[in-house]
Amino acid sequence: MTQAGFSYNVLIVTLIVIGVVLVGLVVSIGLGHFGRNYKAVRREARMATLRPQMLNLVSEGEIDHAELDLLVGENSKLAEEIAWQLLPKVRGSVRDSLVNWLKSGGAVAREDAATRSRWAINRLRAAERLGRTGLVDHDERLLALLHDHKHEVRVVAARALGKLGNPNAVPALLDSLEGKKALPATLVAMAILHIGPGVTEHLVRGMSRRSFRARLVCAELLGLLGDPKAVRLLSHVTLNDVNTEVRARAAKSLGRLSSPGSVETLLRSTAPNQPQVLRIAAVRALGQIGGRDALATLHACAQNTTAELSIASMQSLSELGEEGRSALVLLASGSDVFALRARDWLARLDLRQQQIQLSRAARRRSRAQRSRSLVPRGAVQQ
Amino acid sequence: MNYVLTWMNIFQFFILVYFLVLNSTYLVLLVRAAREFYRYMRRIDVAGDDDVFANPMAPSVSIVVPAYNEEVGIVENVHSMLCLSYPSFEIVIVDDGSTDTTFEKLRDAFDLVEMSSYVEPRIVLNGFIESVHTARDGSPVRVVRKVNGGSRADAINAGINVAEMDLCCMVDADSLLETKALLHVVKPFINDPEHVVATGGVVRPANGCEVRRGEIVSVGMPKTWWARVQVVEYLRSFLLGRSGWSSFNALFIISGAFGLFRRDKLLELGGFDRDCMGEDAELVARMHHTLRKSGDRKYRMVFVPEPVCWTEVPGDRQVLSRQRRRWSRGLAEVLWKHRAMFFNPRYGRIGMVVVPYYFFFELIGPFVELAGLALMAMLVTAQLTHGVFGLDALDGSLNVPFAIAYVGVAFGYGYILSISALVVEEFSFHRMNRWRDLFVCIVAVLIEQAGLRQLHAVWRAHGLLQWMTRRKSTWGAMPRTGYAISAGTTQLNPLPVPNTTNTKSDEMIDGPTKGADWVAGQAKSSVPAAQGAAMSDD
Repeated sequence: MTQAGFSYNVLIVTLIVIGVVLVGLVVSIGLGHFGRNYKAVRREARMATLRPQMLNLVSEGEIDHAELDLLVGENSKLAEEIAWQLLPKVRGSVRDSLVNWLKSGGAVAREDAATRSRWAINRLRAAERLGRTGLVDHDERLLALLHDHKHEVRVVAARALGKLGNPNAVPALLDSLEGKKALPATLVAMAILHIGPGVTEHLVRGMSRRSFRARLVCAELLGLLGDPKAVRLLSHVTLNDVNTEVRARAAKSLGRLSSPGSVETLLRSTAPNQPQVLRIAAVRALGQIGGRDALATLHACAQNTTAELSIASMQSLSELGEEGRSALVLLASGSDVFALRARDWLARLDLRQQQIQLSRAARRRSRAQRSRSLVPRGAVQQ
Repeated sequence: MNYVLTWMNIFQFFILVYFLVLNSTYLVLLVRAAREFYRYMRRIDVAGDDDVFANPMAPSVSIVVPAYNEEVGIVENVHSMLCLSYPSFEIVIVDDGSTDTTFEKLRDAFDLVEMSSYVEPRIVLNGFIESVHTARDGSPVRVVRKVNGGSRADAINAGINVAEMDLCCMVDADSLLETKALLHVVKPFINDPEHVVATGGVVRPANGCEVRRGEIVSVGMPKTWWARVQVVEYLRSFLLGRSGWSSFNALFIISGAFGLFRRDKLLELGGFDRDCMGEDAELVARMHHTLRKSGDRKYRMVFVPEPVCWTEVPGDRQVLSRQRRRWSRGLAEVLWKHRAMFFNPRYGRIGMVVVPYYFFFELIGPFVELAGLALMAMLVTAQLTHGVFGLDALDGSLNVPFAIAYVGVAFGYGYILSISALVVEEFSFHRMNRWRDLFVCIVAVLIEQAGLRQLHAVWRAHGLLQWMTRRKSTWGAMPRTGYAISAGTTQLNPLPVPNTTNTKSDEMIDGPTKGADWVAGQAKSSVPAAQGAAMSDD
């Protein structure tokens, strides 16, 4: 075979291969489309029958397992799937019954075993589902998954631990904020917040951790949980922590707790020698707490040349009622940039008041309508 | 004679290698993207959307909507945005000197109250802000009225100045967002808050889709072939251009129609470039440039493969050609402005791979493609006519193996890639339910590869030549229907509504692109005549 003949053959074979691949791809689109539609239709049909029946049974409160098993019949996999989907949407005894049914059918044990699967997707699903059960006896498995080599698995495990609601998981969750495999602070904070008020002690202890991320999360959560016992600790952190972000977060939390005892700390935090982030957080917190001292400081800070600090101060003044309004009016009387800002905040304040009046009027109207509808028809006629 | 033939052979070889490398790059991106899609689909049920929604620490979002003469659908679109599923967000609409009743419609619909005309001048604007309005009923809607600054970038910058939330999301005034759009695109910021600086979502053509109460309820194919071909293009480009590059952490374009950025980063960078036609691509390029230069190697820009935004694409040749020329000019501007990154190891894979890729394959690609076609045409003509048309020097020089290889590499490979994109779509999101639409889509692939792609190459080459010769050009108007959103179901019809020449931001596919057909020069504009507002392309 000559060189030219050989290259022709190669090229023609290549073209044929390309053609065959193209046809194959088009056929696969067709098959995929048919398969997906067929599967979806079948699944929907089965779901349409099974789901309402299961919902009916579940909504009765106590689930009769035997009846449910009978209903499920051959569709046990689909029924399990429906049950897993229902879990986050139901509460109380219905939820407990559903969990018990999944447990008795071995579904929970299967998920527990799947946490050791070599496939990340199985571990992910298992963690998510164990979290949905709320069964605290599985927290060890989830705690182990917090050290998984896959980031996504660690994330889901943290979320699931939050759903289990066991306060003892808090130290492990805070640990997960440290090191090379650190989890995002927002996710961990959300998980701890999900656990509930029993975590305050752990958070207070967490404030002495070396990791600034852990301290950041603890400072934020102490404010969100609203436990007044945290005021002293947060005040101390606001003034003394080595990390500026942690100090600012603690100041923000003091604002949320709105304890007059923290005003002194916050006033000190607005001093010109303090970091800008902290000053801004402190003036915002002062706006939530109020008081005569706060007013004077906010008025001074509103005229600061740093735009962000000035804006934050005016925002805080707008939250301090009539006294704050007077301060803003005073600021608005000039012709400088502070006056422009103050006028803007005064306009916002006016709008807010209008909105409050509107919503009050709407509430009055709806109350009146409700009371009218309670009067018996016969009474009106008489 | 031999000299000509030698050069001819060298050129033929170059063309072949060029197409082989180009399509192989696409293939690699497609494979990576398919893998990403597969992973994403498998994880949807553990994505934790509800947890994000319930998270009080989730970053707040300002949705910035630049609007110029958008009276047709602005109110309905804002209503649909208000239904977004997200814990904390505000909508900032920037009325960029509209000459129609855009503002009046918004004022009536949301009972707007004028607040103040003072806005912190964080980013310098061309057109000054006249007033800021807020909804009286407490809806998180603010409307900024400003003098037209000659570019969409100026309007967005005004919105960023007014925005007060942690993240800024740029959305076109006529784009429809899926209810969970924000939840999806914000998630990377929650999962990696320290490194993620920007995210983008999939944008798809809404032409031919059924819209009900501001939501796409059924995906269909557009009525015109010009728009149908773009459906295939969008599928391929978002699979290859975005998902693929994102999997290498080398995303270079985030669509102007739907992109999310950290507000502090936007302010640090001075917002969007008012003088650049491809301001969305330019911003991303500038982010790479600045962050890499400052030594930050860990930052990330993430593309979310979930379809989240639907937008109207040009339905006729004239508008499409104008759009493609503009994209080409925009890309040229961006690459020229950031030429310091070109093959510069300091900028890592962006400098060594992405920027050269956009230069060699996206910017000058049309010239190579047209040169290849011209060469083939000349050789075949010379062979068939034996030099009748003065091509006697080329008579007998047609290299048949080259011709076959050219067809195989340029067309066959191209078909495989486009069809593969359809396969990936069918096995992942499976948005087209009707057999007819699927069939039309496959036919659109055939038309696109043999005809429209070459036409696009002509338009893009023309756009580049315009940029090189600094020819003036204007943003044209894109006639559009708006989304007739009502209680009932309506179909987005590509036929223009009489007396409406509204403008919108065109989605950019692989080149930088842009925003929309912004009418320029209504206000004082500092945009250089060559590039900015007063460009006239036709």
